Amino acid sequence: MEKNNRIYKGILILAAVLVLAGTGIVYYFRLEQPVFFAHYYDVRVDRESSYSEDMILRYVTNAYDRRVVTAVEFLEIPGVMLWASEREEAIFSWEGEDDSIPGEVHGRYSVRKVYVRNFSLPEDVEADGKVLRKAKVRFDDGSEMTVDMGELHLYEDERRDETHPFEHVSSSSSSDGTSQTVYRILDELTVTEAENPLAERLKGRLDWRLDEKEPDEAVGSIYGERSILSVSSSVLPGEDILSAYALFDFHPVLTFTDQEGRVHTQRFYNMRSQKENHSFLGLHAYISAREAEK
Amino acid sequence: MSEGYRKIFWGTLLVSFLSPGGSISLVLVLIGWTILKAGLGELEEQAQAGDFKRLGKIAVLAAALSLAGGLLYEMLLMRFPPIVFYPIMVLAVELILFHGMFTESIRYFSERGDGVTAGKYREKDRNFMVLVGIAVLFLSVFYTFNTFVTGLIGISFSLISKIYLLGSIHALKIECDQEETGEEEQSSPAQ
Repeated sequence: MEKNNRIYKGILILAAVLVLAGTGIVYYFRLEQPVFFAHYYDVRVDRESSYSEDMILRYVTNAYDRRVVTAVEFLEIPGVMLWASEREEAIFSWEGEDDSIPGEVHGRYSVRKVYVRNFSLPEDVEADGKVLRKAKVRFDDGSEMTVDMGELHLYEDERRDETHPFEHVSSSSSSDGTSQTVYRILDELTVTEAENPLAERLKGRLDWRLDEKEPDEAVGSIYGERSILSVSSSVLPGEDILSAYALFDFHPVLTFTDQEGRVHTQRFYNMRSQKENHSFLGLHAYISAREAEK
Repeated sequence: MSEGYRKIFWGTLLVSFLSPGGSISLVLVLIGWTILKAGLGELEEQAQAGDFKRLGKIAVLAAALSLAGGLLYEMLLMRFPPIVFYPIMVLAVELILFHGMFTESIRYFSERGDGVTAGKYREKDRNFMVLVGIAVLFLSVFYTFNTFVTGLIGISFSLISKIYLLGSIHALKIECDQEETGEEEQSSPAQ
C-alpha cells in the first residue's frame, strides 16, 4: 500500500504544481487589450460601384476571446462607421449560424481577421491622398478601443484617357510571394517617376522591380513602341518581428511621359503580404516589441 | 456489496463520459453522481470492514466541483482564466474518490483474509493512478498552451483511465457477487 500512497500523493502534488504554474503562465501572457497588426495598405476608394471589396484587418487577442469586432471608424474620417465582421460573408443561410469563436489559436493567443465590409465613403468625404492611421474599433459586447492601424493610403481611380499607351499582357502571382505583371508599351515612353509613400515602410518586406531594375534606377528608362514592361515583386521575410508580422497590400504607380510630353500613369497590383505562419512565441515577441515601441 | 459496486459502476459511467454543459447532460450527470453516492452508501452499510463513509463526502465534493465548473466555464472563461484548469481539478478529486474506493476495498478483502484479491486491486489502483497522472500531465500542458497533440494524448489517457476504472469496478462487483453467492451456499445447507 505504501507504493500506491506514494504514487497517489505524487500525482496530487503534480496536479497542484501544474495548475498553479499554468495559472501563472495564463496570467503572464494575458493581454489587457487586443493588439492590431501594422497594416500598410494602398486602398482604392470606388465611387461608382455600389459594392466595394472587403478590407481585411488582423489583430491578436487572448485565446478564446468571445468578443468580435462589429464596426470600425477611422479617426481621420470621423462620422463614417464601417460595418465589420469576423466571419467571411455567408453564401448559404446556415453558414451564418456558426457561433464558434473565430480565429487561429496559437498558445495563449488568437489571431483574428476582421472583414471591413463594402469599403465605400460618402461623396462629400475627400479620400484621394488621405492616410488613415488610427481607428476606433467597436466590439459586439459594446466595448470600444482606439488602435494604431499602420498606414492606409486611400486613392481614387485615375480616369484613363483615350490614348492610354499600355496594353495588358499578363498578370500572375504565386503563394511563394512572387508576382509579375506584364504590359506592352504602345508608344515610346520614358519612366519619370516610380514613387509610392509606402515604399519606404516596406523596405525589407517587399522587393519590387521594373525589368530587374530597382524603381529608382528605372527612372529615366526609355521603352520603345511595342516593347515589353515587366513589373515583378517578391515578398521578403522582414528584418525583425515588427516588420515580419506587418501586413501590406502595395499598389505602386509608375509615371511615364510620351514623346509629346503627355503624362501617363499606370498602377500595379498583386504585391501583398502572404499568409503568415504565426507562432505563440513569435506573437509574444511581436506584442512585446509593440509595447516597447510605445 | 455487489449492489453497491453495481451502482458505483453506472454512476461512474454517467459522470465520466458526459460534460455538464447542456441541460440534458446536466440532468444525466446529476443522476450519475446521485447513483454513485447511493452505491457508496450501500458499501458503507454492508461492508463489515473498510471505511467507506468519508468517500460519500468526497463524492459530494467531486459532484459539486464538476457541476459548478461545467456550468460556470463559459461565463468565467474571460473573467477568470484559471477556470480552464477545472477539468484537472475534477480529475484530481475523482482520483481521491476512486483511490479511496480501491483502498477501502483492498482493506475489506485483506481483513477478510483474501490477500490475493487485495493484491489484485492494489495493482489495479496503481494502474488507474498512473493513467490519471499521465492524463493530468498532458491535459495541463494542453490547457496552458492549447497544443493540439498534448490535448489529444491527455484526452486519450483520460478516457483509457475511465474505461479501466469501469472495468475494475465491474470486476469488484463480480468478486463480491461470487463471495455473496458462496456465503449463501454455505449458509443454505445449515438451514
